Amino acid sequence: MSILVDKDTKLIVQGITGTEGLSHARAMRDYGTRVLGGVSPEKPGERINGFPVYRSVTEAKAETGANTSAIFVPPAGAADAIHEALEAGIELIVCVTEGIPVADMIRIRRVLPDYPASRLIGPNCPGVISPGKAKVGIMPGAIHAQGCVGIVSRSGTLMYEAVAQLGALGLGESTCVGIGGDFLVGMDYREVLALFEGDDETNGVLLIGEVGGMSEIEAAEYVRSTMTKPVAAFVAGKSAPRGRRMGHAGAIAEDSASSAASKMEALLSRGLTVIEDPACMGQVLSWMLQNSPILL
Amino acid sequence: MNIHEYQAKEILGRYGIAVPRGRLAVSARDAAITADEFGGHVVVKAQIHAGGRGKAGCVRFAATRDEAASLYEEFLGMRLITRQTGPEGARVRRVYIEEALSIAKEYYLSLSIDRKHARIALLASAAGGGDVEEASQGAFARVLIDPCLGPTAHSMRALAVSLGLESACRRMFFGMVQKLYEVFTSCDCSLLEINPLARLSDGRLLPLDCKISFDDNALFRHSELLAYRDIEEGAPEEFEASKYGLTYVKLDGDIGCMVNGAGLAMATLDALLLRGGTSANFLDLGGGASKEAVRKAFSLIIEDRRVKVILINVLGGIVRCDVVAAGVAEAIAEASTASYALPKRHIPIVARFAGNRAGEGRSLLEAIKDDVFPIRFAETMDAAATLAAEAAGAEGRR
Repeated sequence: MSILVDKDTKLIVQGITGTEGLSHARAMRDYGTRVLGGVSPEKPGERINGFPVYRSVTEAKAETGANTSAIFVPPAGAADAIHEALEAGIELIVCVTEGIPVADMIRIRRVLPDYPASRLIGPNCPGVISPGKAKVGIMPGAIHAQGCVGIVSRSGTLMYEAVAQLGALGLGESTCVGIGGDFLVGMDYREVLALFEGDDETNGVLLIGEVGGMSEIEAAEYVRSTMTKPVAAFVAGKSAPRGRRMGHAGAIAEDSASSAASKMEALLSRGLTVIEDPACMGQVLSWMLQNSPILL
Repeated sequence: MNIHEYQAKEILGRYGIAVPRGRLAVSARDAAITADEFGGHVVVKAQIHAGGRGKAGCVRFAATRDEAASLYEEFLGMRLITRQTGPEGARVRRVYIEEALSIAKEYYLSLSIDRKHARIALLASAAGGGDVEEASQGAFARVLIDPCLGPTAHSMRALAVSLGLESACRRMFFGMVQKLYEVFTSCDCSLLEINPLARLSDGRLLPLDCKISFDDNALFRHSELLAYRDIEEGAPEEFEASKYGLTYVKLDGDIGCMVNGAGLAMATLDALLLRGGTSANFLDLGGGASKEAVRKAFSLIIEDRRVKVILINVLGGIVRCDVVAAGVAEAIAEASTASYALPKRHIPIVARFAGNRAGEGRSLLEAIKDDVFPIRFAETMDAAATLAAEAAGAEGRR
């Protein structure tokens, strides 16, 4: 089955006339995703690399039947683009844009519950891929293989690293979800874990966290109380000094509770398999899947 | 982006919030004159971006103009170590002179962003001043502010009562919170902290110290705030890197690291630590680093005298390994003919390329024959971190 994106994904790209938007629209189409067109208020009616361009998300949805949108709009207009997709009734909105002001995301998060049929992934995220089915985002498709591991991560490159390690051991993924490295994002770990729990293709999950915030711990609480599938976790940033922002806007340990070490401890105490060495994510996953009662 | 206390107070003043009279002194004589102007009794305050200045003895009372002048002399140029600066400390380059006021009671008040609820949170405590960090969580009252409503009268009334403010003071308190909220939202702050907020003997409510941080992502719509940027606060490498869209954080180890992506960069440091290595820096090349940016990044690392070994860990997604290799090659070529004094020594490089054009990147680096920078290759993150940690150990014994 996989989660969030699959063969039924019908994608439009907001910001398709920008360099990033267009090159990734092509890459997603090349991967096999049904990219039905794009949105650019400036250039409606044009065709660009075979993609029809629409004036608005509402128009694009009416013309194409799109259910998913990938946003590549620059930071100043990205929150507006998210809201436009929400208003148009897009079911899955993946915002790749990095650098959206936190204040704009406060407003988006304030209205998000008004659109219960929509889900927001990101911003500042690599997107979602269900290998062999569809990719909505900027991850390199070639490193992925179809398999039974679900991955959820704040970081893009660390997710690719995990995928590469799994691939070297002959393992693949059901779906990989990059929820984004910003201070405020849409879907969090817990919501993605709940989807993996209900997915018949996912046998185990790798959660990749980092310093800052408490969402990994909230997710672990969900694993402890509700989840039947095994979850392994790595939390990046053991070497991160307190109060310093480590690349991601959200990767800042504000207090000792949000440091990598104390998060790993909290995850361990809630029954997750905690991976201490990021170079061994693949091995631990392989071991976990072999020893998981769910497969017996 | 962080700013100094005196700048933060300037901003508060612009939004109609009363602050103590104060001036940045330009000389000891100026400090004395300012003291005269403020009636002889002043507080002399070293200006650095880190907090904890009071406890470090750099916020001091002066009873005379001469004391103000001598404190100015003492503070200026001094390397100040507080609990927030780290062991290196920060050099004091500005000294602020402020009128001394008679304080009846100190409070803590801050606005910040609550991640879990995605709201601006107001935090307040009746235990203000330098001890607030040691105060228990229970000592703080927290109010989440709905962006549609702003701070509401009833919640501020309840907060003022819980802080023990007498009724005459509550209206002033609400007025101040409304204005602070306006500053926070109008300037896209990520933190606005008043500590202490003082109830004076004459009944006024005044912010005695103020710390403001701005959301870097929002600076594009606040060109007026860029003038407050003080590039000399923080490591110079960090500012240099930011000009190229790179994120550099100085750490205290000896392995220079260059990685693409924040998560992978953090994980690389963690992998080194597990293998007995320590990183000299965190350096994220970002999503689409150009050859120029890579050249700059690599130069920052090789100019760092603490660096014994360099670890390059690149997993090419959008970033192309051959572009990274080309940038590294340029930096090495530049270093070998450099006019600046590169410490002429032995700096082994461990490179791990994977993904987008990894083979091409490796070939480019293999073509480099430089005695100062012998290069070894690793296929995996495990091997790369192990090699780098071992090499740093070996260099340490040389």
